[in-house]
Amino acid sequence: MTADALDSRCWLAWGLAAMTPVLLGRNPWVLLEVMIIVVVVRVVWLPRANQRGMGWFLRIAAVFTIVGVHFNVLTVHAGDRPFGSLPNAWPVIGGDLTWNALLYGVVSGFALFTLVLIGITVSSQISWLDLVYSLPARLAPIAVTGSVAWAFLPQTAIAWQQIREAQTMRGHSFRTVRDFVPIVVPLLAGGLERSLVIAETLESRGFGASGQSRLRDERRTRSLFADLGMIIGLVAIAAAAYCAAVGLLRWALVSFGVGILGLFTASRLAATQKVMGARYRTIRWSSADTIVTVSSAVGALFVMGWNIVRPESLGYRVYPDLAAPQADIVLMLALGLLLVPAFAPGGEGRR
Amino acid sequence: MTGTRQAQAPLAEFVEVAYRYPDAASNALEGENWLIEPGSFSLVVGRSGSGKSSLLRCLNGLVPHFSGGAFGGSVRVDGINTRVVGPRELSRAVAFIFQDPESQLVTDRVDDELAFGLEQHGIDRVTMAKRVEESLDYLGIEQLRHRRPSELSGGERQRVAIAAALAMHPKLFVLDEPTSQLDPWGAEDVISVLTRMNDDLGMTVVVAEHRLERLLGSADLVKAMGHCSGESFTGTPEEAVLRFDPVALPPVTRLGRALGVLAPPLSVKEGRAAFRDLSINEESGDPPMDSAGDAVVSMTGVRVELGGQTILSGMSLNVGEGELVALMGRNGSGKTTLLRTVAGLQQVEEGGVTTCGVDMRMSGPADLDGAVGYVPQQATTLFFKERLIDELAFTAEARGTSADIHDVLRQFELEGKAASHPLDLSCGERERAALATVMVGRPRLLLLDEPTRGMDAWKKADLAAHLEWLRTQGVAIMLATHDVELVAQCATRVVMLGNGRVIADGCPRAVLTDSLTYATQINKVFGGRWLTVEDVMNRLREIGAVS
Repeated sequence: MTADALDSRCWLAWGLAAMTPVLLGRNPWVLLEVMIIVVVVRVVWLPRANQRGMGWFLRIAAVFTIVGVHFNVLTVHAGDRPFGSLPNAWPVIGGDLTWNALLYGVVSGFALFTLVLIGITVSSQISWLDLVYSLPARLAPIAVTGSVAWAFLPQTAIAWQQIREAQTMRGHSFRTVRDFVPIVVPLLAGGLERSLVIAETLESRGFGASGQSRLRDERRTRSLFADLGMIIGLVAIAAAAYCAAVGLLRWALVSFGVGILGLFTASRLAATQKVMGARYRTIRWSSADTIVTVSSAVGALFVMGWNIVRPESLGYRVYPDLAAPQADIVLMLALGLLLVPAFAPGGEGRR
Repeated sequence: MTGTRQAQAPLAEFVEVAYRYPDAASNALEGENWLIEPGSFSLVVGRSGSGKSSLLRCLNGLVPHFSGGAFGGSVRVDGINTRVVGPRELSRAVAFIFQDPESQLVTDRVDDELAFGLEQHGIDRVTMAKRVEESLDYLGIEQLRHRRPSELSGGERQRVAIAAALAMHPKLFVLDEPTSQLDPWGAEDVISVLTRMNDDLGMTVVVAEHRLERLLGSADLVKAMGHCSGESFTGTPEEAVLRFDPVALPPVTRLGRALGVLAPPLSVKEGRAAFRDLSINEESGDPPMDSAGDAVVSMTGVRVELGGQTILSGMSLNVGEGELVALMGRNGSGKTTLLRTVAGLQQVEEGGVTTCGVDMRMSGPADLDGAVGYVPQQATTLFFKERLIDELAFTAEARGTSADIHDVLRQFELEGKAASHPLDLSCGERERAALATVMVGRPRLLLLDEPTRGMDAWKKADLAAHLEWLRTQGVAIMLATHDVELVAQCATRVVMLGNGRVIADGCPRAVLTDSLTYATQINKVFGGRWLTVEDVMNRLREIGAVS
């Protein structure tokens, strides 16, 4: 994290705003504009080396996209533009293969790819520790745990590569899914060993110590309920994200509400009032952070409101008849607000 | 404050400590009694698996609070019973540094790392800022304060870990093999910091270490865990070296013992004084290099890039059958990349690489058809079967060799472990198991990437003997290592890398002598072409100075 970076919370707000139109519809024009905006922001803010380091995320997204397109074409037989067919006797995949299904698969894959790109752009700009500092002190232990877990991902990717090479040199070849079992076993074993070392390190460095020392017997029950609230809250937030991703917006809202309620309850019940009470680093909020956050929020709110007023602007239906997608100029202009980070100046000395 | 000494009372005290890990068949610790005086520098030594790490983990309560198991006796640190108080609360009094520099840093900026423990203990902001600055200055790492730990070298990371511990103003510093993963420069940095903290601040330091040559001269007290001398004992370094198995001793000390010096030297400086009158200065010329057999590896003008950076440049190298070539150089000099290039795991941008007759520009590892055995730094990445014997059987089958698996296990002293899960083996056993797993495929070329990391002196001696035996069988060996003494003992040739190029190539006697950083202890004492204890003893026998 450099000294002239935008605040992590600001990036989080931008990321959520950029994801909103992608999650709400499949209009190719909207997706294309968001993708271009994300690429521009990424090029402006990310060092070249960092962009290369995230290549494997993009490769995984590309694989999912290709698999998704094939899956859609083979399993959805609706649409007015067939280009071939498989015998009807074949279960699930038997029937017409249509351009409609192919196009929807491509658009969905493109949306997935855009979401991944937004995710890695945001994750490469935010500092977990800054976010920890931004949270209520009572939630700090979970956030630190999350940051350690996050740091685990690249290590696991490196370990995967090392194991694969070592096995190849022993004469093992990777042709089918079963051939990957020899990778999984040492990967899990190594991951477990690393987890134990990190856990030992955290224990040895007093992680959660001040809360622990204040914990008295009579407050243990209360603390247990607080932990339960946190677990429920986090699971509900994750469920909300999933529901939003698959288009179940009503359930997403319900889950999000339950999640917030759970975390709020946990924060009130938690006995660890002094955990990370004193903080070393002061995080300052600059005018650039305000501009980016406000523009992102306005953009996201506009998109959500526009989706209620004119749902066809964000949506794109390819079934039963294939038609050209609409381009809504007002919406497209509003999405331009997401481009603001590309013009944000570096706020020197903000930390 | 850290430098405060409690006049009489020991800082830490073990009384009849016994400990057994969950599901273990035997005790890791048995009847341990030990007093650690305030301001002392204690060195804990012993073979792999002798209980050094368990002993150290008792000091901050990781044993038994974290590891579980059965614990008997008592450990008191600064008056606190570690059975009652766990590692979190003890972290203010006891700083613990682990051997792996990569896993012990938990934040994404160096100064945050230093503040982490202070924040956990709710230290006020002003004190926190003061301690962070002091620690950065004391360790001389102020220039690293905004860097990400992942961008630092191993030595820098260990210094950051020590600075983070120092910021807590602990009374006791405990370090578990802190230099085992570092190159000689990183190790020197860490050791100089420890000795300075002990000398200047009066900090109490306890270190477990295999390489005695690094720390024996600085220690006040040595605690030997079983097998070092046949029994556990605690004493001064001078007492300890007279009781140790000579294999574990630093070369100058071993020479002193061999020559019957009453107080064998503990360091190079003491060695110079002790052997001042020894006249062995008639130097013989460089011995001819062993003639190598047919070329197994041939590299010409090789350039390799990683992440846009040139790692190897203009690299030309030939390795013949029966050669044991040691690749040396600082971390990042390209040793691992060179091995990977030879194995076909690394794409070559320019130049040619032929390995066992296969042009690696056009081919991958699979095309080598088992001619190359590769043991990476993390030997555990090789294992995936339930039993060790199955691992060997897999390689033999994949390589189509008819090797007697039990015979190979015997060669590597693993016949009793045939049915064990490979990941249940001890550190040294895993290294031998990795070698056995690869060697059962009867490769013509063996590539070893730092195989002695964390290995004790006895295992290292075994490894050296085994490599020598393989070499006599015609196997070509390329060994990437920082271990100068091992190289002096068993290599036939040393290739020094720097900045992605070969900067020196010759027999050990030519490359390792007169070197500021890669000289052996014996060479530092005697200069000239002398490298090992055996060199000196042979010379003394030649001139009749000893029988």
